[in-house]
Amino acid sequence: MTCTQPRDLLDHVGEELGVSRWLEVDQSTIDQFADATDDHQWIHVDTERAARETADGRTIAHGLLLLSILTALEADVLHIERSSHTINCGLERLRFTAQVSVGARVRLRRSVANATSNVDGSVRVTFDEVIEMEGSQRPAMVAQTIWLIHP
Amino acid sequence: MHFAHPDDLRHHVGAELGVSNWLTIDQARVDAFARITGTPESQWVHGYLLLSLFPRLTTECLEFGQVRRTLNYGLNRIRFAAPVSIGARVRLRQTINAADEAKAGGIRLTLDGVLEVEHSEGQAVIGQTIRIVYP
Repeated sequence: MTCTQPRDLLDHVGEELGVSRWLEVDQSTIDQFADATDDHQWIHVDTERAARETADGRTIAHGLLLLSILTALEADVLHIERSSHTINCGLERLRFTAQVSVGARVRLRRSVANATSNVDGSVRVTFDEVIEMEGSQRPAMVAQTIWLIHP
Repeated sequence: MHFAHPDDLRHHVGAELGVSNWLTIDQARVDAFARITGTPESQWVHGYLLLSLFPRLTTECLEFGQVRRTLNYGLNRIRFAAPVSIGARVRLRQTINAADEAKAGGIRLTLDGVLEVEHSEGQAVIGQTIRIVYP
């Protein structure tokens, strides 16, 4: 969805904004995330041990990688034409609801849970974020994120 | 803190786990994170990168004699309370909020965390992380 200004989001509380493109979670992305965050636990990076010890024989993406790729996918779902900057205020309840094995494709489904405007024209928005996994009824991640969007 | 078995955490609810060492958030780390996540360049460290460093910083404060794997279960009420500039040093202070039995013999561990910034009164990140530790 495209909005002209942040305040337009007030008219979309309770509505779904849309769904992003599919993004494949490959081993190279998982390895790079492990390097960037120093989290090299074997379930993420050791493909040989994963072949022996995980349920489907494949490594699993870091949960926090799923959170981090939200920033790459959200631009597919919402574009605000007149916005100078956006501040990431935080998160409400977030749950990693299913494991994402390497090679899986995920996408973002985003709705506006709440929006309030400030006198300076900025809008504080709470989004419902759902990371869906191709071929799975169960989402991989559900969360609420909170943003302050400036005009 | 060192625990022989994750089960022992249940006797330490309310205790402070301790504080991690200082970690410098350098440009190379910020760039690596930006490449993966597609985030634009900024003078500030991305909040999700700060959160993603929690597991690594936790390993400095929490050790087990016997653990097969740790699963990230979720987060509760995270606030990015102050911006962190590239090059700043941060450390994580955590307290055990809860330790409950989970499925398959795991222990679900809820930690209250505060990410502190060096030379700053401010706290960069405040919130709860939840993980399941399997012996």
